[in-house]
Amino acid sequence: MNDDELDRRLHEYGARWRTQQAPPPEPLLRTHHVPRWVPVAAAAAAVVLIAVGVAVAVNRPHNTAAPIQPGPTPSPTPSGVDLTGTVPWVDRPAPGYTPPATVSPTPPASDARACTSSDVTLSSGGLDGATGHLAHYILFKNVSASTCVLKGYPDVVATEPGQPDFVVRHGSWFPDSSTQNLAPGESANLALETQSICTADPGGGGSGPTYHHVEITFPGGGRKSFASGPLDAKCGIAETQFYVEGAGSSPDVHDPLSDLKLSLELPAYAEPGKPLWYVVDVTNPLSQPISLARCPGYFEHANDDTRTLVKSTYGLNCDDTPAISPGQTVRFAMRLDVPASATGRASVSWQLDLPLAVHASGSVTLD
Amino acid sequence: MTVTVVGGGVTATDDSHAADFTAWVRPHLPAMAALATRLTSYDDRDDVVQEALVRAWRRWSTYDENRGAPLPWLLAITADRARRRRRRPQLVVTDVAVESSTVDVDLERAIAQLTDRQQLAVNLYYFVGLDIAGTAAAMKCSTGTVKSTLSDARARLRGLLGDES
Repeated sequence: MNDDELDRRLHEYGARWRTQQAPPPEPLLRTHHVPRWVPVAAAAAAVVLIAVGVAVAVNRPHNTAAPIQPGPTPSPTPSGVDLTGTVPWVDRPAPGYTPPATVSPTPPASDARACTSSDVTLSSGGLDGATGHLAHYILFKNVSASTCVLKGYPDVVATEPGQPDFVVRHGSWFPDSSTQNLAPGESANLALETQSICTADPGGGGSGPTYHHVEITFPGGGRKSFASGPLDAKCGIAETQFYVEGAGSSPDVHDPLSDLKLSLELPAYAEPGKPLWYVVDVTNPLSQPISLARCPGYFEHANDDTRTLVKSTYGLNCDDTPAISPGQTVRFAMRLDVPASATGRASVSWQLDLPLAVHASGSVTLD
Repeated sequence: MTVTVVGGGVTATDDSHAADFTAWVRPHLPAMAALATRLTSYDDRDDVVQEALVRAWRRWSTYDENRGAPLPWLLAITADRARRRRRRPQLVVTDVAVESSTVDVDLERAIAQLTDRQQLAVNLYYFVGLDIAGTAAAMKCSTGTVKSTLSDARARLRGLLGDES
């Protein structure tokens, strides 16, 4: 193994390692509480506490039947949150992320003949990861004598001896940019995406059927096999379209959903073994509406003093909320099933499932 | 992104200074947690980050943004707290946060045999994901020193991995 190979191995392993880390602890402000680990001399100061780590995930399967409503609107109580006027919570699987539509001002030329499998060679483009999503990049180099183009989605099937073939889904959480004609020697990219947390395994952890080969059928004709890195199909495998780095619009498209501001309304107390109803306030700080047509999913995490209580993904209920007006705050009701064994103080974290995470957190006493 | 903490009798507005600190450190928590995990163990991660945050809070008034970005400053504190608690096992295959099936056991075993300084550089650059400049700032050295430290580390790793496959 030479230095470059080891460097690549370290980069790839490091990226994979990062995606498998549990969310970091949340800093909780307790301005009138003296934690046991702070010296007396510093007791008067406000301190930062960190909720203790993750050990066991308790998951709630999604109900595929009718949406669960919060029922009769509860009246405000000293330990409850007023759900009057909130958007009802629904038990709905999180949709995949859909990037905003963009218009490239100067679309690059992509009118060459379609590349066939014999026009290109394939190589690994490494790994990239974020918030549980892992991208396995494949580079397609035009080794023919003439210009051709790779565009759209190829049909990709993951294969593994002794396992059923796995069809890769079109459309990925990772953004893809435009494609363009490939002169001889130029390359296009494709990302295969796997996830470590999803509806099928909302608690994360563990691995599903793993594949090490993919069969790629090209839009221009022909098929090629490629030995990929391990693809964990537990949460499915998705693909981007073919794209060329730097072609057309920037891959870092700004998503107005990431401009939303969040805060949580949590009750002071929650009873172990019973649902905790709370509210997420979603505010549009912009001067133009923010559409919820691409209704996002969200990630909910809670832990008590010793372990993770809930780590789940859901789809937001946008059914009657197509957009949030400028300056408007929409209150979404949320339900969290508190395990009967939970004790102490629970930290609740909530975030929209976007490449640029929008997130809020708070805490509640379990009693 | 704006984070507001409301409810549970805890409000960020109780102490705006503390709230400012929380908002300031929040974007850097993943990197701090990653480095703490790498330098100690997953079980010690939250304690190390907690200690680092308490220390950073106390020393926040001494932080000078003209002398560097927040992340390297916070990571240097995290590394210091991790060093004081260091009892990282030789292998991390039992870490809860990492599926054992995906752990590169040989590579982890080799990294564990690097010097502390080499391990810090490798962890900051490859596992936390900093660039060379960020790694240098966190290690309080020049970029040239980081490059040579990483080069030495890889040379050592190649030797240690020489027997595999």
